[in-house]
Amino acid sequence: MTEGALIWLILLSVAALVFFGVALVVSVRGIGDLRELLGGVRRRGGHS
Amino acid sequence: MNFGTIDWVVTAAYLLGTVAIGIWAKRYVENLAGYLVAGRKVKSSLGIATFVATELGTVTFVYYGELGYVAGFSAFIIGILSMAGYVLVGHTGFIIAALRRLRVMTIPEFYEIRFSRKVRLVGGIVLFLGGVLNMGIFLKFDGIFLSEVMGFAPEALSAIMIVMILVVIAYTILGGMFSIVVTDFMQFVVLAMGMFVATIAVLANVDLTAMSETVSSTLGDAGVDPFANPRFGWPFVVWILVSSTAAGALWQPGTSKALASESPAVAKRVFFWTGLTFAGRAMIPMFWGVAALAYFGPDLASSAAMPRLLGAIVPSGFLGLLVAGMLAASMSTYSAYLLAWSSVFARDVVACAGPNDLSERTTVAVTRIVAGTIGVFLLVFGLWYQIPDTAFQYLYVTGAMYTSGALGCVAAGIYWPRANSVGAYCALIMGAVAPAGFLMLEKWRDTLPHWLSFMTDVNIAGLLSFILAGLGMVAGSLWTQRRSPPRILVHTEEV
Repeated sequence: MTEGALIWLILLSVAALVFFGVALVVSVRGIGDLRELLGGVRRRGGHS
Repeated sequence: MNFGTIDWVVTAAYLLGTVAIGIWAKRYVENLAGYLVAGRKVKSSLGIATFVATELGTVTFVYYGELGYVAGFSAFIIGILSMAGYVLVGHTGFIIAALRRLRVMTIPEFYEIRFSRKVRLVGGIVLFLGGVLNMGIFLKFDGIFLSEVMGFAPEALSAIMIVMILVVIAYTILGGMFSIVVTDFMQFVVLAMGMFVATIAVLANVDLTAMSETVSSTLGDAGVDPFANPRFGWPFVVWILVSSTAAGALWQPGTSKALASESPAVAKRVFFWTGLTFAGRAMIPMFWGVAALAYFGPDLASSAAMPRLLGAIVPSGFLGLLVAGMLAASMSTYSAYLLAWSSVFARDVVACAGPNDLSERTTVAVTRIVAGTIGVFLLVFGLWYQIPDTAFQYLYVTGAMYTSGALGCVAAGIYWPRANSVGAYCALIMGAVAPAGFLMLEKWRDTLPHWLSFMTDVNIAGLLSFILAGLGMVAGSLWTQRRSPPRILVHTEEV
């Protein structure tokens, strides 16, 4: 493997870890945000 | 080709579920702010999910995969540059914090607050034209991806894409940003899973050493060094860095996520964390493209190579998840873009052509009609237009038609007290000249006089658009300070 390719693959690994790590955290926490967003509208608007 | 019955079931179930949820979310639309910016109540995690989903369509995977296939590892520099641009915006709040404080819903609204209603009209027209032209090739590239992965003939695929755009138009028109926020979140989760599955499949089937050797033998130094690659070089790097920063702050579909945020602080947080994912957003599909180069060799159609690889190596069952993920990616992108461009047309073009704003009801009605019209345009343009150069460069140069002038207007409008409406006109028009010139002149590339041939270099045209817009703003403002005194900007909401 060439040195240039190795450097780019290391950078790719870091970028992929960040991407999937953020995706995991956001997926879990986003459910709470979504409930709160829709719940807030329902309380004000009187939707059932 | 591995696409089987189970994959069809997964894909169909996903599409039906999305439509049902999108239409269900319509009940939460209370008023215009609810329709266009989800009532400005979106918190960080939800904002990040919807932002990433908006900026990741199937077209994104195809154009980044194409770049990996034709340029090797050197294309990865784009991921670093995009990340740098968005993180800079998120970390500093450059432009977005001020726009959120002003409580605008579209970027051209700022032009009226800071410059004049006519500047808003001109800015709205440039934004709308640049945005819709930019979106024009989405459907075609989605078609290429799905036909390669699912093993269809291109004719059948056109029909599938028509169905898909109709579905997206339906829930965008009905539900607006509330539907988009709800469906985007679901789509973000599905597309992240699809990307993970595809990456594991690539790693299991294509050897990393083989990738390195193929890149080295096919492309030489240009495969690992972006400055040695004739597609890229210094003008490209500077252009993409400036363009990513401008797009981060001012690209209406993305910026609308900041404007939908709960507060300016949340908007900054959303941009910062979304920006961190942008390196992976670009480099992961590019990696699939490099793998396609190693797997098939360099002789395939560049945009079809990566999807064909995924269709060949991702096992049945998981392929359905991947296609659902890609459809998810496209639907979230289409819906956000349709809403962004149609709301700009309604609020900044139609309304600004007259002396008074439209009523909320009329604005929503016009937005819905325009969203449907753009959908029809996408079908016609996508089937007819042949893009110059790579899809990535087409998208960035059409984006520059608007972002260059907008960067000049909004950055100067916020941070330079002497910016005036004449400077704004000059920035908007001069920023659009170089990209528009490129799109027209590249068709006659071989017959142009030598002195004009620089305009057919997409990288030069892109970089030039930002330089001209900046010069236009500074020169136009300084020469007309007395005749057209600048307006003072008043912020209405604190961080």
